Amino acid sequence: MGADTIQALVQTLSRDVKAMETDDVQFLANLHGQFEQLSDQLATVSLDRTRHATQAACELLESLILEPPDDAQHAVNTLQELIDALDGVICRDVDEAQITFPEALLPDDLASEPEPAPADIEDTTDTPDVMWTLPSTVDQEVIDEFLARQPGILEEMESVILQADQSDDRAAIDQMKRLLHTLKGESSLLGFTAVAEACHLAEDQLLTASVKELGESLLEMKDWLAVTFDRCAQGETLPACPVSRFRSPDGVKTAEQNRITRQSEVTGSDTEGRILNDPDGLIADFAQEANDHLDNAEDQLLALEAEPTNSEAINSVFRAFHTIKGVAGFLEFNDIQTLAHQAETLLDRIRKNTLELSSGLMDLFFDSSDQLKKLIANVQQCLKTGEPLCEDQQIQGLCDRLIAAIDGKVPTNNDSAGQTRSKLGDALVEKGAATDQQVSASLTTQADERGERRIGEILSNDQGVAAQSVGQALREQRQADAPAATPSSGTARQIKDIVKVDAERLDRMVDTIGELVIAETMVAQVVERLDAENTMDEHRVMNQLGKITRELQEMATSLRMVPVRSVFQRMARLARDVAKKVDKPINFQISGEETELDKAVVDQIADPLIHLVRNAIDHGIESSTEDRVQAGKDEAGQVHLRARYQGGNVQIEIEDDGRGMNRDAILSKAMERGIVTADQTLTDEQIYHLIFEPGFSMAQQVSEISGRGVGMDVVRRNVEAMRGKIEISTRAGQGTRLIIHLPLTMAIMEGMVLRVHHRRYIVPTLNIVRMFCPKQDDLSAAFDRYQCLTHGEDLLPICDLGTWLGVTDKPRDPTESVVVVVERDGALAALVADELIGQQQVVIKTLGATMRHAPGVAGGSIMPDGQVGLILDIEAVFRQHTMPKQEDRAA
Amino acid sequence: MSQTAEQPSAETNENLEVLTGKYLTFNLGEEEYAVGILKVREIIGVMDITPVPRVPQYIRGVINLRGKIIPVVALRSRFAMEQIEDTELTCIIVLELPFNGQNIPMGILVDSVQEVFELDLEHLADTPAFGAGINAEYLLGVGRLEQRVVMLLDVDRILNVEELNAVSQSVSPEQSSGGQA
Repeated sequence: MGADTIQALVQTLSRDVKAMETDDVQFLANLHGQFEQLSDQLATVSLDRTRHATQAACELLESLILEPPDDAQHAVNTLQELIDALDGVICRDVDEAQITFPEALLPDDLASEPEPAPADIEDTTDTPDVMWTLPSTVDQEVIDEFLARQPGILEEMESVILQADQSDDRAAIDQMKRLLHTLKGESSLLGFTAVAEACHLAEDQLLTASVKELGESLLEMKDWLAVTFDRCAQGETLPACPVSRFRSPDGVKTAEQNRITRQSEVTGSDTEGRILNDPDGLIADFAQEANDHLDNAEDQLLALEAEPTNSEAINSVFRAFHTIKGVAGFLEFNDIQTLAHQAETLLDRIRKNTLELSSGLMDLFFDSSDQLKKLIANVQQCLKTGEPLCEDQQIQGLCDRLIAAIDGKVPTNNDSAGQTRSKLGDALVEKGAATDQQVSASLTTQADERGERRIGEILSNDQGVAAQSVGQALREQRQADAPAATPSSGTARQIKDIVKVDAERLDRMVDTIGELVIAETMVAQVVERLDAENTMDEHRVMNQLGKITRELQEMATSLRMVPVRSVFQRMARLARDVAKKVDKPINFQISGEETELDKAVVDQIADPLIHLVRNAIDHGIESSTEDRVQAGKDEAGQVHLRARYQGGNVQIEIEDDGRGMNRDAILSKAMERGIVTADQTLTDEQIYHLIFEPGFSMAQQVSEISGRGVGMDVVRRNVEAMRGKIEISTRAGQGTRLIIHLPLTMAIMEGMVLRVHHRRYIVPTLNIVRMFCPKQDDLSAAFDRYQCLTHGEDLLPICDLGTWLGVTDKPRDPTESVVVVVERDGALAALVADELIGQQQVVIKTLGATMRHAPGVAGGSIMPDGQVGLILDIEAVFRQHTMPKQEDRAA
Repeated sequence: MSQTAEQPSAETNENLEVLTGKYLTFNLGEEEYAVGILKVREIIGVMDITPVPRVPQYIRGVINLRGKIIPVVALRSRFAMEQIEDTELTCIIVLELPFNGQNIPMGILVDSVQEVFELDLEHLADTPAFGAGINAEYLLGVGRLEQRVVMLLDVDRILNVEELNAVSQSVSPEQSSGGQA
């Protein structure tokens, strides 16, 4: 080790890079190995920048192999430059700080500023305006796909960090490391150098610190990642990492030390093992694919045995090992990676004709393949049972044999290779196909020939043992050697298969199924009209068709359902941050996070929840713990976030055990702000709903967290946009509970179909309080046009749908019509329609980009006859009919 | 129709070159208009159009196009031409217009659909100066087809989604207060 080795390596590299051809994958892989070796060696001497550049070169090569870029020549030039720089540092002993490394390989700050800063100081405020952009060489589709996956990964990261807050265990560190590592690998491949670097540093620090200790920094980093990926998706420039310990070279020092400890850790092996967590199915996929590759490799090996010069077969086996190595490295299966790597290197020698493929080597490959299968089976087993994966120690012997073979020492009948052979001998003796003498004679012959021929070959050729029995014994032996591999392929298939589908395609399918339902109804009507006598068959077929269509429709809607978990976890994080900021002890609990909602609803519910959680903690919970203790409550404020099914809807509930809302205070505040006038009489429910009015705020001071009176307005708007409603119940001194009622899905709604003149309109059933035909006594009027309806104790404004919607000029006489009383935020109004057609489930569709703002209409739906029915926007009705004074002023 | 065109002056050439290609022609009254065939998704016969309250007059309403609700713009109304009753020949041409990086479908209501033809440079001309008050900006150019003159419509501009939205917003309060009175 040391300077000499490094020098030798650099010299070889410099020769090889000059000769390199970018389309020779094999050669590239070889170079990659050399760079990796160099990087490892550099870790032993303290040349941080050089090592970083070398690692970057490895990554560059990796991307060259996996996805040949258009300008491969550029990469070659970069490597050339690197070699020159290396030559300077290593061979001519120039101080590495004075060498310019190729920019592509070293991030700016590292390239120009090697001076380390103190590691423990965290200047989160000092975010330098270093923007970075992505190289344009990477395929956009790959990036898109990568970006689409990130939110899930970041969420997982966050939940790991938050869980670690409560109980800090090894599993959290391992999981975090794995997440970071995956992200690092992918992002460096795609050119997110800053991300890759941050992940790398974080990963290194995790070796010495716990997730808990790094919690704040990690959370901040996660936020930064979210922003970065978001901006990247929009094609904007990307911000620099705000967390200094994950950005600047201050971490490099620690990283350096850690790398060494890590290496020793690896050689000492990770005995505690790691819990396999496979949310994306990556590992399951890998295991299945690796098995396929190995099966294929074995086929090819058998072909090779028959025809040792078959270069096609060699390449094929090589590819199999190479792929397995790559993915295993990515997923951090060190054993598999090491083994595959050694086997690959050996094959490479054979490919280049520096070694000849002897039967001893063939055995080695078969053994490697079997061992890999065992390792993979082990992975699958752990994945299935959830047990921690212990890296198998047994590969050491095999690896040593492979390394020896790489160095040109052809394996002989020592160690386990000999065991295999004698086992074959034993098997044959047992079967009576050969005698003990024959076997031992063959073994001696084999030793004399330095393992040039396989034992079976010698037995059948020299000793006259039947070739058939030798073959059979070999096959049986191979089966016995890999017992785990066979059942494992079965278990791999049991792991849930998940297909990711473009949301647009899904929508199109749902649309088409909707059309199918309509067509089915039409056909059914035709069948109804047929002669009743002879239509038994038709009816039977129609029944069946109906059943299938209904099933399809149900399936289509369930496709879009996702659990609210992701959003709830975000809220847990938020609650933690807010509690810290306002300095209140908070016990935040979530339940029912498995409740499933339409994906669109889940996406939209986050914003309102953010405000409600903030409010509950900032306003709901008492400011001082003494107040709480005096009131007989726990010191820590209890905030619960729950989700549950309720009928055809979902309820999301936020409950705190704080001071509750003060009805009179709200009312006086609202009057003060001119939201209500003194002469208005309001129910308690209506008063509580005043907090949702824009500009309303109970806060004496506008704080960083809340008090501007915007938040609650947002809550109401968003909930209404999802066709939900909010219910408030509060008791002074005991807490507040807000319940958001949401439809299960945005796509389907229970609606009442009304006829207005010759058109049909749909009113959401959720808003309907009552429907009836009023009598003259129920009505009263002012100025001939503002009609009112007496409903119990309330006087309701009347909205004549015909004139309001512009279908006719003449308002209908309510006594000859149907009146639908609708409710919103505790306020009521009466809609006048011609006729009730009936209640039905309608599939909601937007009217398209041009009609986004069509007033009074919330959307459309295809009616059973294929025409479009419009869904009324109840909110618009109230805007125009409940407070006419304000409306006039606004206009 | 596929004779090679003589090269007109370099300048007009550049402007008109982009206009060569296939067009679908249709009638509004006696006048003949054309839209680039690449923008046309399909042509359907007129069906019952559901009117939407309080949107600009020229948006006739919405229809169900195989499960998708799309708006239909009455072109006569858009160009402030005389309104006529729908006939058997009345058609809806479904176009795809770019909006926010997506192509959104939109229907235009026309009196009748004529034919698809290919316009080469020789048969293209710049938009003539109609004089003040006429919105020549809605035209890309003019095509000559045998004895006829065909106006090449700039549908992206005529049916600009942003504009339609902006208009519908500004129109709505006026109409709604009128409706209430």
